Amino acid sequence: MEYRATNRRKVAFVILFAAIAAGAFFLTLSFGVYDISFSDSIGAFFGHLAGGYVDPTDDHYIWDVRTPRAIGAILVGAGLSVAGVVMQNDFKNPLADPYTLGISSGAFLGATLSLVLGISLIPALSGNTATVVNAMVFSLFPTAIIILVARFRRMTPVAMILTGIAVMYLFSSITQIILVSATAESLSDAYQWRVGSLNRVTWDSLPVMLAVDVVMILLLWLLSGKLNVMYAGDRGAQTLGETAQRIRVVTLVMASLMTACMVCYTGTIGFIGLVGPHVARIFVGSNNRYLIPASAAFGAAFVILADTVAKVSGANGLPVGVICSMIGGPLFIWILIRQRKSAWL
Amino acid sequence: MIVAAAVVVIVVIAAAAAAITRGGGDGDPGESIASQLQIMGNANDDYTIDDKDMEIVDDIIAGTKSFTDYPLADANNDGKVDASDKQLLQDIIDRKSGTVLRVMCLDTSGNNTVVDVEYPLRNVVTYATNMQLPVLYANGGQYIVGYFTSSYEVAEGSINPAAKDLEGSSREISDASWTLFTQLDAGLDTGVGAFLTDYSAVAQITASRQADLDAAGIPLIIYPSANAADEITTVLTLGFLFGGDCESLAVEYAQASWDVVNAIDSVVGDLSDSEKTTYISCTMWIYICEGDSTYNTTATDAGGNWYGNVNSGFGSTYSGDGSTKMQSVEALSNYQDVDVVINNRSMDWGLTADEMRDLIIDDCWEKDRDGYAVKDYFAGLEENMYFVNNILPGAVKLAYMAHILYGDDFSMEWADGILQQFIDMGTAPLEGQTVDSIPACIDHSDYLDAKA
Repeated sequence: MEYRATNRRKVAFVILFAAIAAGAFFLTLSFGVYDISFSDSIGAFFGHLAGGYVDPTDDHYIWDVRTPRAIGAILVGAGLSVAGVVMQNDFKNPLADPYTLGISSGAFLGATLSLVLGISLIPALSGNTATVVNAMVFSLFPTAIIILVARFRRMTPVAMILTGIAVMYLFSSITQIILVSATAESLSDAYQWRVGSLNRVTWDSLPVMLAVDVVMILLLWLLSGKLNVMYAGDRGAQTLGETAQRIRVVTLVMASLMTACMVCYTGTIGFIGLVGPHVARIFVGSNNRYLIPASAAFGAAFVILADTVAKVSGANGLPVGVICSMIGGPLFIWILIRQRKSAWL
Repeated sequence: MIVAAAVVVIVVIAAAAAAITRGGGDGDPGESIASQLQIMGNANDDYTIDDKDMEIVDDIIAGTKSFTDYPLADANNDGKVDASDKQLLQDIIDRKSGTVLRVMCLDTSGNNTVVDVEYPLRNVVTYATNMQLPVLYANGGQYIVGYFTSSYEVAEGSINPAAKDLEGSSREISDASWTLFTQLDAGLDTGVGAFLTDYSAVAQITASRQADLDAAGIPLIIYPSANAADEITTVLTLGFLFGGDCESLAVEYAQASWDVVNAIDSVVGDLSDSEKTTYISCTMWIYICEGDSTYNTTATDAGGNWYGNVNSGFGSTYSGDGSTKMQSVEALSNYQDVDVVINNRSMDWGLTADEMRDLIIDDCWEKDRDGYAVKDYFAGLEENMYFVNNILPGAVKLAYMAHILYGDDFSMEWADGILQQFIDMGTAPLEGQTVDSIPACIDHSDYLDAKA
């Protein structure tokens, strides 16, 4: 009975934060610089869906600007948080996330090459498309390097994560060299990209983000049993008939691809990939069957609420990455102090 | 007989029109120049140094005029006016080579200072676009021996081809670049004549670099030249320092500039704020200029009323002297009642029709900024948004802004005519250009035409 009750609480957590994310979706439509009431924003949203008359200005800001941004917030929050779950799980390390594995610094280097030097990996591309493609490709380099190094030299999970950190520093130093000689204009662009913003998410961005996010989260959830085996350690996994390294490589590639497809459109939104899994783990435990959907729900709710605050902060909004860290840091410390048992395993 | 009479009438009308458009007639060619030459000895504080200044010095020495009323009469800047000032002033009036001029400018803290410069000024090193272009507009590019950055191939094409690229950037003079500069100075027989920079870039002149300049005896000349009116003074003073044709060109440049200023003032000078056209200035496509920014100062000089003066919310949000990037395409959504948006862009010229079309579409209206086209940030304001080329002469920018703000009083043809006047003047950056090869003022109809 207690087991079932516990599981119901875990499911309830997922449903609660999914509901919060859904509610925040409609709430955030009325937030932004453009003044519009909650009821009018909802009216404009459903009016557009129904094909009825909507004030053209309302329609522009609600449907063309805020709706894709809100959907993007949900996808980014869910995707980065689940990526954090997988990375922490694969390396049995509470500090593993897209930052510490160098994925974000790889993406930033790729974006900087485009924004500052005008270099596109695909010469035919330019502007934002070149930045997106550069960021996506470069964000996969650290994972590729980690996997290659691990393949030729048997490495412990700690050594692998240290390899990621080394790659992060290498990429960061190259980026800094480029930025030193950047013009004020391109330096500003690079900085804006670095702090992460959902302002860049448009309807054009969503097909890739949505497809990759849904498919990868679903596949990782289906692999939750194998991810759970990783808790037993490499030798323990072997005794259970699984090859830990193979699981690690497959899930790491999936999580990295998912992260790449998020940050290439938004820039590096920090915090959620590290802390989302920890908060979810406090409430639902370490079983990935619950942890993955719980992290996705929490991450989605957190980022869309943070972006709601970001949109009405500063002169005409602030980057969501700043708000995520500003709100999330103290919140996480408070949760760590309040909870009694260890959140990690 | 009738034909002869007609010819006479045409000639008389043409002569009268020429006199009016030059604004001078038979009087002093620089009588309408309100800029003051920034050189000690310019006793009457006008646009040049001539016998009128000597008369004042004579009167001060004779005791019929007071030094306190004419502080610039102190040509050698020693705190008194005597025979030595008279001798120096005569050398300046004679434009005698080797004369040491006392040039008024700013120091690195923004305070007024005076530096010694040998006439005529040669072997200059320039830094910052806002100073480099005034040097070129005074046709001083031939005297540049080193520069830290050059971003506009055509507009800055008159930089002496032998000048050394010191490999800085618009944002920074690195230590390596500074070393190249000191090596350049050491390698020149007479050394670097002066280091010229705009006040907005003064952060690059650190205390140690100032000490390097002092030790090498290189005068540091700093002017604030981003504002159109300030730029006229800078060109005027630099032209005088370079001497010869540069001086006469600079006087003509200043004269033409002040003719524009006066033409604008004659129409909008008496308007109350409520009658003036409101504007929002932007730069770098999607950065909103703050109230005290130089871009706003220029638009205000063109007769505009900054939108922050009529919308307190906008005024408080965008107070300051810098610019704020729009964090979303909604940033201007609540300010749709502004009359015009002036988007300041630095754009090189020498463009073919195809290049112009590409620039209008790809580098202005549809330029990708954070996933959105620039025009998306100005939704609802497109028809009132204009790109103005920021590297044009200040008076030309004022002319186009006056057209944008008061199109009924200042036609596009009038503004184009001002640009043509500067092209015809012979200032090197505009040499060989036409009104059609320079992206001067781009509006929404230009965009629609380009798309068509």
